[in-house]
Amino acid sequence: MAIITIKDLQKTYNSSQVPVHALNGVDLTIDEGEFTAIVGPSGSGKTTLLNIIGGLDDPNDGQVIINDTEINHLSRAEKIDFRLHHIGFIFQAYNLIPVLTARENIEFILELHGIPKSKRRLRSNELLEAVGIPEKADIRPRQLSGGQQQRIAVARALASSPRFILADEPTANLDSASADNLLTIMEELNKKEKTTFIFSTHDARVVKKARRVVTLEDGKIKSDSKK
Amino acid sequence: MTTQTTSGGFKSIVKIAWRNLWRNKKRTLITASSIFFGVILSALMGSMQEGSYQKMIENVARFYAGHAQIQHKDYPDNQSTNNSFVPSDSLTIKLNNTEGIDMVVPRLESFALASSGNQTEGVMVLGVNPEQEDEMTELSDKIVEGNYFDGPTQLLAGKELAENLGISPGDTLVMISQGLHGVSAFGKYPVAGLFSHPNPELNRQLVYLPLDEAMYFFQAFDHVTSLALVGNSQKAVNKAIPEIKQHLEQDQVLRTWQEMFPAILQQIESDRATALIMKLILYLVIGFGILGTVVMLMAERQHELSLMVAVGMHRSKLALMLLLEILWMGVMGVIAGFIGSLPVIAWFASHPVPITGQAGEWMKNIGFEPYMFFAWDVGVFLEQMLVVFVLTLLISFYPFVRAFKISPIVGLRN
Repeated sequence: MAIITIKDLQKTYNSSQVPVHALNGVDLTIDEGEFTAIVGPSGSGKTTLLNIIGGLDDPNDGQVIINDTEINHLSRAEKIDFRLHHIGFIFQAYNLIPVLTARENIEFILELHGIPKSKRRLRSNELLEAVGIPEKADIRPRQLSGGQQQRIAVARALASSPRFILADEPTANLDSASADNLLTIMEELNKKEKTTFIFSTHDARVVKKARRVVTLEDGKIKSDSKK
Repeated sequence: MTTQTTSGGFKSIVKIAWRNLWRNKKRTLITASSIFFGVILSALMGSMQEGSYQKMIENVARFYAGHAQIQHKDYPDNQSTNNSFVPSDSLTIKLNNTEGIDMVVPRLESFALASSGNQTEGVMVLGVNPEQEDEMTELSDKIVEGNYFDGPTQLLAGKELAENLGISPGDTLVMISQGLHGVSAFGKYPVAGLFSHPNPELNRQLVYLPLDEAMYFFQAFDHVTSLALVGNSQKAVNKAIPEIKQHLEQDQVLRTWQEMFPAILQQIESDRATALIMKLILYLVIGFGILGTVVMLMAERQHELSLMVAVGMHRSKLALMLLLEILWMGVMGVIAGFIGSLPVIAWFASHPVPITGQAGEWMKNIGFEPYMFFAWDVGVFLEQMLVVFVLTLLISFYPFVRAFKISPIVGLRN
């Protein structure tokens, strides 16, 4: 069952003198429970595609339909609520809130949902266990390694059990061991929580783990292969 | 799939705002310090200003004219004994029983020429009831040489007047004047003591005579030129005025010290306006200091704030978080400033700063005590606290408004 349907997506940046066509007619369907990698060279439009799917950026043309909602038609506030309730984000630079502990970063999303403290605590414990660092619960991000921070970012993205997770180059800043570890965790969570994962990546290890690989080039889908 | 709205996260907002405040302790403390010193300086300035006015008013109202006076209606234009009046018993009883009026002090005032040896000076003769006058103006405390009225026919002279006339306690002063209805007034009075009044003008001109003797001197028996009314505050007297006015005779008027000394009131108002400009400059300096911090803070956190919006935090909550952060910083500075200014102002209020040299002489010449007086007035603290707080509040609008313009994509890209 399709969770995301993308139709003829166009995005052009006019910030420089020459317009840059980041996305040039992308059509894509992502099914529920997929573990998909979007690959391609720098500037191929991977991050732009993820940003538009996540409602962080607006396309110039085309549609992004997530279940029955065309997110381009939502207001700014509606998009925020939509992201909160349906999408989890993992960023390349971890992007944890530095003044909150690991656990608080996870619970922050749950608190935005209005989930009571006792339930928040249960869920954060569960996720800290799932990402393998329960002992780091009360430590702030700057005291964690890059790999540990990214694991907390994964836990945060999963906190509210979103329909899918958008991960923009999640292993780019990690060493091999940390990257492998993280991918294994995400793969397990994908299976266990049935969460759809969509990665943009250059990392061969991610591509290897992905069950579907979509290759972008010059803003167009060059290939789409399922394993 | 539909979108849902959420209202959670307030605790997190408060937590993040509070922790952000201590994220860069040095900067927070520097900014709070600028507010702290701003409050202290402006409170000190306000206290000094109000202290000078209070002293000025006290010297005029409490220690000289009273908060108000009942006079003959023509006396303000022509201060002669001919414009005196005989207070009726009913008026005296009424005044003594009016709430808000603590004292009713009768006076007979006119001018005379005073002479001793070859020296002659124009003087203001003030006939007073020695006991009541002392109670009202604490005149006996101002005696610097000799004694307070020793006998019924003695006088007190201002220190500077005595120097100009070359007299000292025990000497005799001859005075001539014009009494009631043009009668010649003359008398010879021994000097009981010399006083030093806070108002240098009075030191140069004033002579006190016992009221009965003054009545005799001016041949104005039972007459007074004024009934000075003293209350525990100007407000209390002002409240009693309408009731008192109902008991005045047609040829009598009631004048507050502000009506008697409009120049002082004008001077206070003009001084307040000047001080306001100084304060505005101070507030501007403080304001730009805080604004600098806020602008820097916003620039530094753009990425983080964008992330919060990206993961589902509404901009309104973000705005609230930033608002709280700035307000806490302001409140900290304001409270610290309030606590810090208390002992400083308390010290200065009880230890006026003497003004020496030419400035001091100049102040004396224009009739002021050469001191910087400070008021111990809660209103001064509250006003400064409120102004600086409002200033902080105004500045916090900048991040508040900016929060609504945060773009998750631009911030994350940066």
